[in-house]
Amino acid sequence: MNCLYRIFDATGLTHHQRTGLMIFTILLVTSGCGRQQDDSVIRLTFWHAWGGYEGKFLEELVGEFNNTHPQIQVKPAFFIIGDKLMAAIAGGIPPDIATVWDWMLPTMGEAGCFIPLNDYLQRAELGPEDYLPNVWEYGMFSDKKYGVPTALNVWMIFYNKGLFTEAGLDAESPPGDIDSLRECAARLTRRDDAGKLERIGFIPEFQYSYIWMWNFGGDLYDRHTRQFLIDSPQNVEAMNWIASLYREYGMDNYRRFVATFGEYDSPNNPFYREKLAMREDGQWQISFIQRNAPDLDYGLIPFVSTVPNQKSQSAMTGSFWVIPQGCRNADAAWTFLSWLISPAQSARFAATLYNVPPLRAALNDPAYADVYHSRMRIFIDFFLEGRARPLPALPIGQFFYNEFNNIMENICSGAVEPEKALPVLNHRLQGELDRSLRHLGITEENS
Amino acid sequence: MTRQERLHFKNGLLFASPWILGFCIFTLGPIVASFYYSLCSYNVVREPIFIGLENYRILLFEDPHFLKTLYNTLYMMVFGVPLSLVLAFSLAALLNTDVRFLSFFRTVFYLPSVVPVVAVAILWVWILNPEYGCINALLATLGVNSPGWLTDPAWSKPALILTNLWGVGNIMIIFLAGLQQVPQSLHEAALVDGANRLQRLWNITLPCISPVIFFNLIMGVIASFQYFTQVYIMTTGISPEYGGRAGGPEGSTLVYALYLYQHAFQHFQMGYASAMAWILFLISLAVIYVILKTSGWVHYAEER
Amino acid sequence: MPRKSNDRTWIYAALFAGSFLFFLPFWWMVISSLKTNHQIFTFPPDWFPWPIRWRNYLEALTFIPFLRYLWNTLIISAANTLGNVLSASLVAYSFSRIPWRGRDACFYLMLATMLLPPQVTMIPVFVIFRTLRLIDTFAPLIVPSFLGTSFFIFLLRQFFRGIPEALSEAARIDGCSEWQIYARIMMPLSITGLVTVVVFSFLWSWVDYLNPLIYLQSPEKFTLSLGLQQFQSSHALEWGMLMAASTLMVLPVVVLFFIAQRAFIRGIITGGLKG
Repeated sequence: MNCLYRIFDATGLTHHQRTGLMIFTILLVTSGCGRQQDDSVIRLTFWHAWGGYEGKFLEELVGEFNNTHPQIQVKPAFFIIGDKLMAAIAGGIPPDIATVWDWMLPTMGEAGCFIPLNDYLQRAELGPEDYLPNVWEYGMFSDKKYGVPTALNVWMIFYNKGLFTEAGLDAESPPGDIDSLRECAARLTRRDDAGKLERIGFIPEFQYSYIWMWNFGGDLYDRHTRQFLIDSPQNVEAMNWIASLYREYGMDNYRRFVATFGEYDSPNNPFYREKLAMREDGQWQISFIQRNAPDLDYGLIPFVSTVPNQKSQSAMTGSFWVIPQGCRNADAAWTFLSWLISPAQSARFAATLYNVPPLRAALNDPAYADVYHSRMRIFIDFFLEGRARPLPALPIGQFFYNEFNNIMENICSGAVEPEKALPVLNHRLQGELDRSLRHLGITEENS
Repeated sequence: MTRQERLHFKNGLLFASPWILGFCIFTLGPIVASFYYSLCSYNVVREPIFIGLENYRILLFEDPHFLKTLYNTLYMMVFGVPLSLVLAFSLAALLNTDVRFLSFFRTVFYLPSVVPVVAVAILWVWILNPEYGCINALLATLGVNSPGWLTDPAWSKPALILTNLWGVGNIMIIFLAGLQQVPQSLHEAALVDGANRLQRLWNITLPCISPVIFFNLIMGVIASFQYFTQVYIMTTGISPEYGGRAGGPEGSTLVYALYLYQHAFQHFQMGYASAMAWILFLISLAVIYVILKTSGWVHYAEER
Repeated sequence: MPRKSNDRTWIYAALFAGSFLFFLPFWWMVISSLKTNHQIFTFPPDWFPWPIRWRNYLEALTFIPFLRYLWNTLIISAANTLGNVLSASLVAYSFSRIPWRGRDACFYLMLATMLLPPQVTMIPVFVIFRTLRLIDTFAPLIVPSFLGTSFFIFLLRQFFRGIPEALSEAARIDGCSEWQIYARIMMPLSITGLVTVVVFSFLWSWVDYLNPLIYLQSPEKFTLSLGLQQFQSSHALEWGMLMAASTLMVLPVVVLFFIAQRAFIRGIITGGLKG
């Protein structure tokens, strides 16, 4: 379900109340579960955000828990992550365990929506070493852990080997640096006689510009000083490079071309249909390709770095499970949650989703073996080498998202230049962060 | 007060009590509360923190999107409302000419305005698709180069206006009723004087229905300030994984109400959102005031 | 006369062209509901698809708990209609037939509230309902209509003003109480107006999106408007089913419109023109 993340990622929205154009629900909730409590049995509600076969599997897992833990019965329900959760918490009727996107965790957490899990984790003897690199700090703004990661994603560039061969390129040795990437992209692009795009070789999606910023040696934010670093020269260089690609294709052409794309999870996905020769995507795409286009001959490029002696990096994304404030029985909720994130269950869940489990122990679990030895290996090794990085955890997560994407889009369409736009963005984000910290009462002294 | 006056007062209040109660609970109280929130930083989960006029200061002087969203909203108003009125009036005028199948035409024009907003939005996103939608298919058969509609920042607002035009049935019906109230005698007198259709339209019909035009104008302006649901659904797009974002390509459809929503429900800044709501209220009051002041062209029947 | 028939040709031509354009999206919606996803995405589009896929309708009814949502929406709409008829008529009577001091001021105040953007009061109202622990119930969706809706009060006030004062005055002199005048004279004479309120109140509740969105949490309490969203699967949009569900949702309204055409139109007229 983490391609779901990609979708929300792209929109910069935390939920689709109004549009609701995203999620397919299998409503397994039976009518009005009473909030009355049996004396002997503790009943909890669990809001998750996975539909389809992924959701089904998760709910089966929950069923297993219920069978093995007669004292605690958990009722799962599908929901669209977003202000629904906020409204429930604000309305005083939150679920006992919920799911949130990674950028929402510090925002809602620092605002007081969730119960900190530090003590629980300590008692369960889970610490940074038990997790994959960078995962412990993932989603942590202050020193409080407001949630536990569910399953992780990482992004790479998928490329179509068939198209490479057709264009006279070596399909087995894909581009390893910026210039050859650009060159390949140019050779793979096709236009029709009228100049309309028929195939794009490669174009970075502007929402993921930050991956390129990292690979150009830049950074977004310094955790220790709480300062944004978006206007660094490396970032400007990265954005100039991306903007130049968009200039080549033309933003208008690009947009119209995008409007012709078929459904993401169908045989009409533009990557399968050869409308895109190379595409940034998450590792779940491996399973999607297996399902929708099993004959597709594809390869993987783990991004490229322009910094000498620095390997390429990519984005880590995912979701978190949280225990909202107002939960009726936090201890019982944690019992369920700790079971759910234990290596055995985590491995099975991540395997079904074709995601990466957060715990090292889960990687080695036999349930994950098939996935481990599939094409996922390159992603997993990427994680193990610490090359997967998350976006900075901020109490202004959605704000950051909207503003960032907004500026990135303007840069790519040529409306503004990176040299001018990035400092403005930096200033705005910094102002908002400082203000937000002041209001939250978090100052240098008490953070 | 005389005894009878007192009695009437008591009864009047009694009968009006549902509204009075509702007003106090759902209007007056919330207005005061909302103003207070606008002076605070408030995320609904914790208590509001008083910060004075900071929200207003940031909104009016530091927020780069404020002017853009106002522009978008005013654009929709300045172009959308007159176009709707003209189309609705034209249709009504056509229908008022003693045509057969009146019922049929009236139904076809009116029905779209009762289709739920969600359905309209989703339907029109599809219709306006630059490659597959039927609008561009139609234009293609006429040999016209088709614009990018919702994918093009220059055409996204016109696309929204077009979608709204589909729902002018409501306004048309009002115009139709108004037209039917124009006294036949006036038309006959004009005919005797040799006036043609257009002259009659300009000199008789329009002045007679000017109150109706005025009403529709005010209603349209009010609606355009609060315009939200449709644009939200349409610009978030059916395929967001390909970059569709609320507020359209490059913020070209980020209307004020949508930006307000983002602050309230995505950034959890209810205080800031409340400040935005108040500014919106003040601006819409100002605009309505201007319209009222310049409404000398409205002729009420009593004055004839 | 040649000129006249020329005119008429133009008029008919314009009307038919207009009807064609207005009807096109409807047609699109209906035929999309009868196609598979694959057919919908073909270009140039298929205006008269064959074979017809009625299955979309069946699947739409089972994909989401359509009947349950239908039931919820019906309950809410019916309750709102009742509430509006009762409250609006009572208040309208007060504003039109009882000469009490401050009446007109209140009336204009009510009109002024129609200018208020809903965003201003949205959050505090939510907080009110939260304090009363009424989130995730139908109460926030129904209670306001029992406390008067400005538009309907306005509408019925106009209607009541159209009834000759002499009638109510005579009754008053005869010693009737206000309640008797209201119930025995005003209401029966305003059937058209009341029908209008019924029709519009029902319609607005039927298609309401905002309020169910904010106040309903549990999926089993959702209304049809919310339910329509659920056809967007995470990876694919079930266009066919979505269009089928949309058509199904519009159908009762269309039927209602045909039945109550006169009332619809009368109501819009009176609400818009007089006073």
